[in-house]
Amino acid sequence: MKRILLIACLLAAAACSVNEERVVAPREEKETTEQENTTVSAIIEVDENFAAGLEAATKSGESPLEGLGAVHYERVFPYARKAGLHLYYKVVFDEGVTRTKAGEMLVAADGIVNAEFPRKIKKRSAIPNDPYFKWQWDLYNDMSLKLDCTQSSSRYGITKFTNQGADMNLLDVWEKYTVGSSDVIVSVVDGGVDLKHPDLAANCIPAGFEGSKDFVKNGYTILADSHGTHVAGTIAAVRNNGIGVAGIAGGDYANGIPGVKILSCQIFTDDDGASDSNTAAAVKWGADHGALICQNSWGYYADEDEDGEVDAKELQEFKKETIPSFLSKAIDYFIKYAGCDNNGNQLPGSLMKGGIVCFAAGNEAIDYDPICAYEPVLAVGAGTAGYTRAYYSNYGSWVDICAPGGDGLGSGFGPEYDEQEYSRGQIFNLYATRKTDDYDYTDYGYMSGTSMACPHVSGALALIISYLGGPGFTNTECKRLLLEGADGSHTNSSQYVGPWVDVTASIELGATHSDIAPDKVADYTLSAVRKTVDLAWKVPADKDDAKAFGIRILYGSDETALRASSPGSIKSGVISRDVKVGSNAAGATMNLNIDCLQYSTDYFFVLYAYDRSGNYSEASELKKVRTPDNHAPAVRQEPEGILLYGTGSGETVPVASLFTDQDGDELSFECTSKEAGDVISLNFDGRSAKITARKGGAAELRITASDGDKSTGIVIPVLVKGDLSDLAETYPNPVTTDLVIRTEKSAETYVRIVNSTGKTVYEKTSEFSGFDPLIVNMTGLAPGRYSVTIRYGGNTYHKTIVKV
Amino acid sequence: MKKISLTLLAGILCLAASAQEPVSEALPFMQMDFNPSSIAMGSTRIPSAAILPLSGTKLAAGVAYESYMPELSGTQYVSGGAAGTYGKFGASIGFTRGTGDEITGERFTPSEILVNAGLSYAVTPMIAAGVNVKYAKEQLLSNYSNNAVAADVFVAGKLDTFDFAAGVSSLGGQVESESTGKFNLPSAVTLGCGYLYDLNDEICLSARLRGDYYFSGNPAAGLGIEGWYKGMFAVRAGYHYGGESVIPNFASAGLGARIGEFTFDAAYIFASEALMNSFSICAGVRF
Repeated sequence: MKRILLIACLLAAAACSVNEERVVAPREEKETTEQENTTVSAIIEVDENFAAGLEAATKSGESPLEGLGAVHYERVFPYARKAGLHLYYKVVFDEGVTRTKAGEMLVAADGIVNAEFPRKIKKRSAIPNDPYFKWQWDLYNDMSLKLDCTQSSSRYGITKFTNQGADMNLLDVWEKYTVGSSDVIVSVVDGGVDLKHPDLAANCIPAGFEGSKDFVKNGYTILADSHGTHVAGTIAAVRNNGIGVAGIAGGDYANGIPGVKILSCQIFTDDDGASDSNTAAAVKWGADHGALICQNSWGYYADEDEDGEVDAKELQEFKKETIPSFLSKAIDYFIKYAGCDNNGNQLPGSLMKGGIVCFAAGNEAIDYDPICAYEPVLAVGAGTAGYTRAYYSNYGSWVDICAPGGDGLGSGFGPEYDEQEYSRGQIFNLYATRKTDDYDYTDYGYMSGTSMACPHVSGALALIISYLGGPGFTNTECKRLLLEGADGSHTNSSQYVGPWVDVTASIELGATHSDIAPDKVADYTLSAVRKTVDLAWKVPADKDDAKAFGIRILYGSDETALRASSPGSIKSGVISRDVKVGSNAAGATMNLNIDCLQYSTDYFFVLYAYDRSGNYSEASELKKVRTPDNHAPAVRQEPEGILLYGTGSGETVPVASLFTDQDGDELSFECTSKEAGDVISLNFDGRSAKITARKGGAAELRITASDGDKSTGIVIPVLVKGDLSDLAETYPNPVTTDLVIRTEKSAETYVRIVNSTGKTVYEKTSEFSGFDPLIVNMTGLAPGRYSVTIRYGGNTYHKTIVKV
Repeated sequence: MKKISLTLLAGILCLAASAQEPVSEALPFMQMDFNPSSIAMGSTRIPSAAILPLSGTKLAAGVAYESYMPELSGTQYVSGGAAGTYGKFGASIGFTRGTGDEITGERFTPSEILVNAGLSYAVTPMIAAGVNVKYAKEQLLSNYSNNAVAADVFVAGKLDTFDFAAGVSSLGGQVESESTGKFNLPSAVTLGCGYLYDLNDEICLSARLRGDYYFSGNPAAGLGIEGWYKGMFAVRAGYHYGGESVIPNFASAGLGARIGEFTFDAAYIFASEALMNSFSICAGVRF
């Protein structure tokens, strides 16, 4: 509310008796009603003298505000005497007094400190009446979600996160702009959508020759599938209908507004899945039947052996895969022809020229997906309520945008799981209503995955098109608004899943037009910690938009390139990051942490503020910061040697826990074995090494930890006792240079080596052990057969060795 | 002839003096003694064909078995050989094969083979010279073996009950290691002599003395005595000083028997840490 400050004159203050409330010009109830309907009223704050005068005048029957055109006044807080509340009065003006006139007179009056015109208020209608909306933190995270990640933390070793209020910033869109338009069709290429679900049916296109279709059997029977229904419900569950959940673009049932339409393109059933070619046909079907958005929460198998993890070999093979050409052609077709005629011209009545194809990034926590790597695809990663990457989400620079995908494990079926699964931060939405032999499905439930994140983006796109779409509105512009409106301040560069979807910012980016650029970023600070730079700045003001919409940060180690760059022309070697101002007011301090930099490097920064129309401010002062020197990974504790007893015995070495890094860098590890012969087998998964004894002998585990810049290596000796009855061993055999003699325990030991004729060629008594063995240099001895006598622990052992 | 012998001896001594490295010799079993009657006397007999023309033996043959270093490697040698004279010439052949324990940790048993052939000639009724050529091979792994050819060159003499021999043994090339260079054979300069004394009509005593100087710079020596009763039974004893040379120190004792043309000998080694409890037996014929 704008505030009108009035330094007013003092009216005559006649001493009067005090009434708690005074009606200067009593009105009929009817008149009062009319006045309230047609007259202007204001709330004024007066000083003590003015208040005393008003009270005195009231008692004397005078009308001190009559000169201002007021016909009535009364205290806002009739019985309040504390905290200055007695200084507030409601003033009602005569019918002929306009709001402007009243303001002018109040400004001119002495003794009136402040005056405000009451604003019209209404219920917060953006909150729908869907009863399960309270569990849809992904749409509106009011911080009431108390996350319990105990199970997932212990099983996956993920860092427990907290609820940071992450959602897709949807409420303002519903309140100010749109709840979705039935002119927008989203094709859901997935398991069949429950077209009869009571909370979805109104927004579904029935199966038929021109509607939803089954691509598994190439028919028109849609079998309700919970995955497909969950996805569809996220986009278009009927909103504000008093039951179930709210879809992102589900309309407003109570007010008769239909939501966006779902076109089910069924590619899965319980027992079968569509082939590649039919899947591609399903993508094309949407473009040919009015869809502007193609929603895909499916992909190819990376986990070939389906053991729940993608090992290094599987990843290597998966990275060789690329999108099949027929699928890429289908995607190209959708993007080019959705909403268009055969010539690529936007159809009359279509809200957008061209389509957008969204794909889930995948749930293997790997840095590749062959479909999403196809550049025209809009790849969607999954995030948690803590603005972190969901532990399962695939990641990489190819991921375009991040949306709530939920955390936690498994899925809950029905209300009995509600609180439990909600506390794990999963995504709540529709389930199929049908029953199967395995499950008694209920209508609603929880799921998590990039499958769930993707429809959030499809829903956001549907809202953008619903509000901004029309003739000339293109898929390129729609995608730009989505991505430029997204919030990059939560981005983690090391496992990138894109900026967070912010549908309000995206729509406002397209809805607002301004010509005046914001003020430049006048002051900002840089501080380097490890490989990160903490950046803090004050939000600049904007003359026509009040404040900047976002800050574009350009930085890099090449000062020359940075100086040559501008917001619209970024030179090679310069990195750009956009941060939305969001709810921060002009002058408020904002922070950003830029990570994944290099150690011991000078970085140069320059900031530009921009408004929603893309007007950029002047460049800020160019500043430099130097990242500190890197410390190599350190060994927590020198590991002892590993002694394996007997062939087949094994041990797991927790490689990752052997090292620490002072700088807090994420470490990567390499582990190899060096051995004379096939003594051990090694299975290294990147974090731990499983060694298994194959035969008696010695080997070494060579482990290297790297922080990406520096590395530290250790060697762990491994001894395998092939013969468990033999407490003193010699190796290698045959020997060429050094003969190693070891005993199980450290003790004084006599060793003598004789040649085949009995000549003593070596004799020594000393103390050695398994991991501090006796090394005998055999280089001076002729090739031949030798006998080794070892007296240790009261026993004598004889070995026959060969020098070659 | 005397001049030739002295020249040969001087050359051999010079060669021995210059051969100080390497310290370890290859195919050391070339210097082993497989004759029980000699082992029992501290390995004092010189295994040379040179003495043959002076020995009075027309033909001899025998087979022997030896358990060598049973406390350590358990090597077992089986030998066979024959020798004979014809006029001023003497000739001999021999074959020995030895097998030891399996290599620790491997399923393979090394083996050694020694084949020799000798020829000698009596220059005078008291002086003879001979050459013995040897081929030695040791199979250390299924795919790795060493072998070499060497020669023993000796001059021998006999005067009444005294005999002697001098020469060089195992003179040959080098054996190359797969990893650490070349190694010499256990070549040595050897001098030996013996004396026979008839105590009475029934008992005959003999003593033998032998000295070796290896090209590696290590000396060795042996002393042995033997007593025969009625030419049918013999008792023997001896001591071998090996020092740092190929064959270690040991004391030995043995028995012998001769029945007609058949001979039987046995030897036992004691007082030796490496060779303790080694023994050998031999059966032969002599005409």
